[in-house]
Amino acid sequence: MQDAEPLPDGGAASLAAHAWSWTPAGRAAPVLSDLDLTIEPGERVLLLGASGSGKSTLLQAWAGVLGGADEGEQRGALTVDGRDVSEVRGRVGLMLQHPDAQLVLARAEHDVAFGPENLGVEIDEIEARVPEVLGAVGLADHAGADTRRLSGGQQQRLALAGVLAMRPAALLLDEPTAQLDPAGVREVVAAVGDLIANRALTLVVVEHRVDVWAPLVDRIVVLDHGRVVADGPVADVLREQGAALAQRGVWVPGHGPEHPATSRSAPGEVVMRARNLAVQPVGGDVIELALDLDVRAGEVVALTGPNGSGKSTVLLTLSGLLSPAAGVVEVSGAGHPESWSSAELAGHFGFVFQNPEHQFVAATVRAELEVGPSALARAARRGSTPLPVNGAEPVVDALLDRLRLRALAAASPFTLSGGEQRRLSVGTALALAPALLLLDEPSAGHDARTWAELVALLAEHRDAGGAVVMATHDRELIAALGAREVALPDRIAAAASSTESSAARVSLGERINPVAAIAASLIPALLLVTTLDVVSAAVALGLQVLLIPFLGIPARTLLRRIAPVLVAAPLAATTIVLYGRASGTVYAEFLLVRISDGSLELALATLLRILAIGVPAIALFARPDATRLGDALGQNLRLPSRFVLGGVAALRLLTVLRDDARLLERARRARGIGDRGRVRRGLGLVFSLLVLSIRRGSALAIGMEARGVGAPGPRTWTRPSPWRASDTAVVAVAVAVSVIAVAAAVLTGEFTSVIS
Amino acid sequence: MATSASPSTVRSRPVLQWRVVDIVVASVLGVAGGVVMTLWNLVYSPATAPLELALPGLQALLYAVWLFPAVLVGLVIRKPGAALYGELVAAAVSALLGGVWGWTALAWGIVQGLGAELVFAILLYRAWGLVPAILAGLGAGAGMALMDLTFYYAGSRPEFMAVYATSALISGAVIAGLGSWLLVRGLARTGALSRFAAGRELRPRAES
Repeated sequence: MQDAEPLPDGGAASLAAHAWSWTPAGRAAPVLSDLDLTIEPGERVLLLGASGSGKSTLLQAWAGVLGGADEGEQRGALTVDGRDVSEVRGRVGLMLQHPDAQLVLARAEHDVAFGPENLGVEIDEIEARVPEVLGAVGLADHAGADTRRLSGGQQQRLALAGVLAMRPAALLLDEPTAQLDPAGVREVVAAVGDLIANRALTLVVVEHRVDVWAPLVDRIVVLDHGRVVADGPVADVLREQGAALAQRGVWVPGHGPEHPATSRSAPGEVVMRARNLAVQPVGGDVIELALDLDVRAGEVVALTGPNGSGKSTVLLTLSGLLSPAAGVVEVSGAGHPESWSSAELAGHFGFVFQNPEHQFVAATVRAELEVGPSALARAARRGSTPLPVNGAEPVVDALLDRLRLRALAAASPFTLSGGEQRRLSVGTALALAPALLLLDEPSAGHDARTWAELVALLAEHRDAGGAVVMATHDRELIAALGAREVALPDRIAAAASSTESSAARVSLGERINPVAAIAASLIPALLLVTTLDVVSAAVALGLQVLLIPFLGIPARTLLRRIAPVLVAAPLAATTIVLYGRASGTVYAEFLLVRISDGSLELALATLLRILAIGVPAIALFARPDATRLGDALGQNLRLPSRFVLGGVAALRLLTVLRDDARLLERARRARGIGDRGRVRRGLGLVFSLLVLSIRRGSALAIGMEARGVGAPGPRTWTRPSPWRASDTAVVAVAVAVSVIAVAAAVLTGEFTSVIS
Repeated sequence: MATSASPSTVRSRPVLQWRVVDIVVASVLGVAGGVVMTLWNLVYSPATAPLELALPGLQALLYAVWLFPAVLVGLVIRKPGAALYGELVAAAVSALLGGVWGWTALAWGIVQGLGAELVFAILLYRAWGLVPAILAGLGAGAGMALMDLTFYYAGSRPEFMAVYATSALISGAVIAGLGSWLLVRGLARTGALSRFAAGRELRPRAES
């Protein structure tokens, strides 16, 4: 098909593997071995296989982001258009499962430009491409949107636009719809369908669900243990291999996973009731539902509704992890859960979070299952819970067998596969044999096999007389469990579209170049930090208080941000009062404390100095903006772009990590260990956050590399970071303030330096 | 259980160039460290007050909370500049989030990060065990003592300075050094460090 010589510009790409093997560093066995596969230009291929069969690895390899010799060992040849993958950066576009792993910048249009910027495409060309690709995925009206406020389907379409902006000749999609609700799935599939109809693109999709993508592809390739086991037209492969594929966990139409029958016995007595319930997510608006709900023993209730309708919030409110905004939640014979201790919550409810990694708190699988029982036993010893307590040992052993996790009892929960993690997370909830099991999107992203395992565990709990409430949009799950559906109404989606900040009147504080802001707060601070006297600190602080209003920052924002400094400064000064170098009259003396004229004066100087250093730093960064900071560090300071972009991406992850921290706190409360001391809870939280941040960072690194970070050649910066006269003026004024302050001290004879 | 890594490749010389994943994970750890610093900024004063009351200068025994990003990032990434970069990013984030010391935190970050970085450099970026970790913690502690006593406690008495410096060194060795080393081991057990040599040496589970 292709001549290796001139790159077919604009044409679709061919992808090939010839006797190719890949062994990740630290593994003995290859993930893919002796793979032979050729995909012609313009072909549309669905790549199927069980979890761990090497599908994602293959896509990453073609996209050139698998890493070099210190990541693993490769044999054979892997080519794009007949050339080695490292020579054709940008020809292959890779899109991943999670928006968090591929959206880097805060504003939609900035994020779309990110890929071509890294490839060094010229500014005019980038500016032409951005609106074009946003239009191609149906997001033309969202150019100015905050990427975090888009829906899941919109975020994935934006990621697709970011890939398209790099003008790829092949589009590789790695489970692009696994985390979306049905509406989001339809959006993304329709967008991809439009693209391949109108452009010369080779398409390779990895996905568990055949029905979603079958209409768009013309060939199916099945991988198993790193080898091709089936390859051919869609209908042929499904006819010949359908049953075998279903066995491996692929959702094949007509070969749905087997599961236990729905319950025949009528539901028992009411275990929980909610009346006239309204809920409120943390940091969000009240959702007026006026929900009345009775949950009975032996029944499964499914809360459904589109994203944003409040399913998860209702679930958290029912479980006592959030307080109702209005109305009541009552557990039969036990009262209102929002007032319970962590141990009581764990005794009554089993809570399963959407991402199992949010709820793991122990070092091994066995310890994970023991967490609930031992927390309850401790609470019972202290007499703080009325719940009956059984011995943990037999329960845990039985659970290990039931969950088929005995062989992994000593492994870290974080190292388990997705399906194993799901089983364990349900297991931790079952360990205390709670009357009520609450689950948040338990089946999202699972293949047919792990899905069937989940259904079996839930059916068992139901048939033993337990109740289940789950938030889900999985129709098959609802049908398989014979769940009673409670549909929450759609809310008018918060306007996420173009929130163009009023460009007309931008205050000096918002216009100032971030590098100027750093310089303006750092230079005077470095001078002040070498002084010890009251006069220089007082003069500097006085001048600053006069100057800060010119930055035009709202007083309330400023006060809120400055509050910690206003608390810390007097505390630090108190230390100096007690222990500062003594001189003059001594007022009090006991043990090592000596309060004197000298220490009081030093303390006053310290107080003023801390304020004079801290206040302008905060005032100049009243609204930190990672994108602008990155642009300035890359262009004005010319720091290496890879490091600047890494820093910007990490700062963007901060909001994700804040949400993670919130979830982790809740999960610990639901698990029964939220009553522990503050220090112990804090340390556990920090550890879990570090684990999550490294995982998110590693995933993001793949997404960023796929978008051209680290490509050779200079990067294009599309957003100018101008250094205006006002920036020079701000720095000059800041330097002048500190010079005047020191001069005043010298002239009054008060100047004291630390270097003396 | 899994013993040492792949039999086919013997890596004698470390690869010193930063990969994209090194940069991103170092940045993320730096940002996370900056958040921890910011939280610590809010509570350190009351938290260390009892120590200070017992013996002025002893409060520095807990101050290495400000130093752990240097040793942690150094141990995880194992590349030249990682310790300095981690501490610098953490310091910058704490300034950005509104710390008491404003952007002067950058100066502290540089000196503290250099303290740890120097130790790793003297060991030619080849030793990453417990002893190097403790030495790097000591290095960072020395940097902190130097900065604090020169600028922050310049007005204090010599005996205070001696207690403070000793406490800072002990704290650096124990909290930043030993603490980070334990933290890396714990993180490696979770499999989160599978793309790093630090994680592969202690692989939890070979198959899957």
